[in-house]
Amino acid sequence: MNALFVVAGQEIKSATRERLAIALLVVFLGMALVSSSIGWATHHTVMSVYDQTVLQTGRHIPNPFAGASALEITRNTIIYIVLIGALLATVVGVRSAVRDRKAGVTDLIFSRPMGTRAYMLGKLLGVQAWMGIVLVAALLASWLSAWVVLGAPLSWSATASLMGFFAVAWLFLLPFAVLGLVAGARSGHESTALLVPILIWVAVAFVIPQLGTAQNPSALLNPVPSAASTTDLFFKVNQAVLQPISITEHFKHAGSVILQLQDVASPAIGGDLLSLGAIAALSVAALALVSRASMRRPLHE
Amino acid sequence: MNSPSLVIFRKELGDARRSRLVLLLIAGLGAIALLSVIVAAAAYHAKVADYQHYLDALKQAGGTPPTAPLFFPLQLLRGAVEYLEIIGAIVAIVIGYGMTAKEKNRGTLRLLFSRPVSGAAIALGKLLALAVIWLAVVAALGVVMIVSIRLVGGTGLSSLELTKLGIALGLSWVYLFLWSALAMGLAGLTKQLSTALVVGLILWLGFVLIIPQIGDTMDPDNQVPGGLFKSLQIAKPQEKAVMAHFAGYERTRNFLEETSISKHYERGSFGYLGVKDKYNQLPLGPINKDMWTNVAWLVGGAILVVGLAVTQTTKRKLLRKA
Repeated sequence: MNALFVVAGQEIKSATRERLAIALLVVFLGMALVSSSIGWATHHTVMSVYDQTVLQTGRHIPNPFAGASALEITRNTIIYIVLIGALLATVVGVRSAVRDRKAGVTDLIFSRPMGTRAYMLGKLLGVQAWMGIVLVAALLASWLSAWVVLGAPLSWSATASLMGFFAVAWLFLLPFAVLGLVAGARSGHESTALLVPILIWVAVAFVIPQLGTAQNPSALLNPVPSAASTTDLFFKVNQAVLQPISITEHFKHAGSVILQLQDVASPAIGGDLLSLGAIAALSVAALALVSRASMRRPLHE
Repeated sequence: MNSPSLVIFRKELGDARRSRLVLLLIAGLGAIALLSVIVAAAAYHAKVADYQHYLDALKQAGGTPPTAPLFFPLQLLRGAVEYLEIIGAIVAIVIGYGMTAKEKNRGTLRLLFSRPVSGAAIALGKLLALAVIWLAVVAALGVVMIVSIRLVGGTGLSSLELTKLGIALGLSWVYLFLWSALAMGLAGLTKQLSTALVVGLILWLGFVLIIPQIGDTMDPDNQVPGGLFKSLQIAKPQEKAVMAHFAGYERTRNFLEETSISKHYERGSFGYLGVKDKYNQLPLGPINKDMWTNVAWLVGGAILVVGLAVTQTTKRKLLRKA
């Protein structure tokens, strides 16, 4: 158990020295900051369009944003976690796994009383602790920027919702960190280790949802998930088969409900959390795919 | 005809034919393009079936039938274009990066530079190979698209539609080549190869996903389910009159989108394929008139990254220690 925490501690130290991980962190925090500004500018414009329409038509029209949550301005954060957060988790995972292989210290580590599972679990613990730090920083950035653009701090309940959202984001990012770790530990080339998880992410984020909903890839960049747009058998079957593994859509739905966004079809998130939890648990089990032999293989760039 | 560039060009084509990774990535791209046409055709058939049910119910109730959903075969290619825009760009980055990375990994660069060959000649040979590889891929994708429209959509394409498809495929060729040349340039620019790949992926993330996503988000019509203007129950002329008051905001949004090369590729392809209703069924003249700026951006971008790839493929840069 002690060895596991030693590896995890080492991971956090190494991640803070990793320039690329820092660069992605800066991009991620920057996007969390601008997300609120973009949300506010758009919200403000829509309200002005509404006022202008009422003025020009002279009719009473229901306000499309009546009763909208204060967290509506942070809606883009959902998609930035799906895009940048997943890439960050993958890169940090890959770099973590290849670091020791590149430095040639794997043999030394395994000459000590250290099992492969404890080693990989320690790495995952470290990577997820690092991702936790990143998400707490993003939470603070979102909260502060919401305060600035709204002119008042978020209420306690809105703050709790924001915290809940980032907790779900942490769970959502875990499989991507594992994917990076496993690819980094098993691959013969560092570039392949980076590429394979990213291609899997692209398939999960774009291809799988399209098969179930008929939505085009660019429509899947909407923070609110796409509902099945047709009752056709082809899509019904695809939806039933692929929905459990469509974790980006589960995260988008759970995130939209937690942030109280307007256009969410169903308020129930039990199924989403179950799917995210199950995939996260399966991912941790997938660490068993890493063996000492694969870690000791020579690694090319 | 045995200049160093041509020798390298032939060697690169041979390498690509033998590389399982390249073949796998290209086959995957073709499979996704085919899948997207199947999904689009299935969605259209489902829409027609829904319309028929609605029509039958309406006939029984004695109501006026609405307009039937219209079928435009080139519109089935929307998903395929978006996949080329998103996934094609990643595949292009990997293939372009591989052009330099494999030489570094195999240690053949020292051998190559021990011969009387300039960096520019190496770069030109590799870029020419990339251009030919992407030309072959795009041509194969074109055949897949035409055959799948025929089989799944149940219709052939007219000569005008084939010309429009040809132009859209030409834009795809420039777009994919651009990403490959950029990745090749980055592999020379950065000391560590994996850094080049990560930088390429960050640029891909920014230009392909984040900037277009911000542009879409800032569109007021996308802020309300079903569309803002539909929810406000106003007609198109009124919508234009209202939006005239927000010209500055719209200009900013458009400027943001125009900084993304992917958006230019998307706008150009959607224009020629008639995915955007405004250009559907139009002759080539008016489409060319509106789309030339997008084409110019793409070509200009490609020329810039070719410059980057050539200037970064030098003995000093490629042989430096990481």
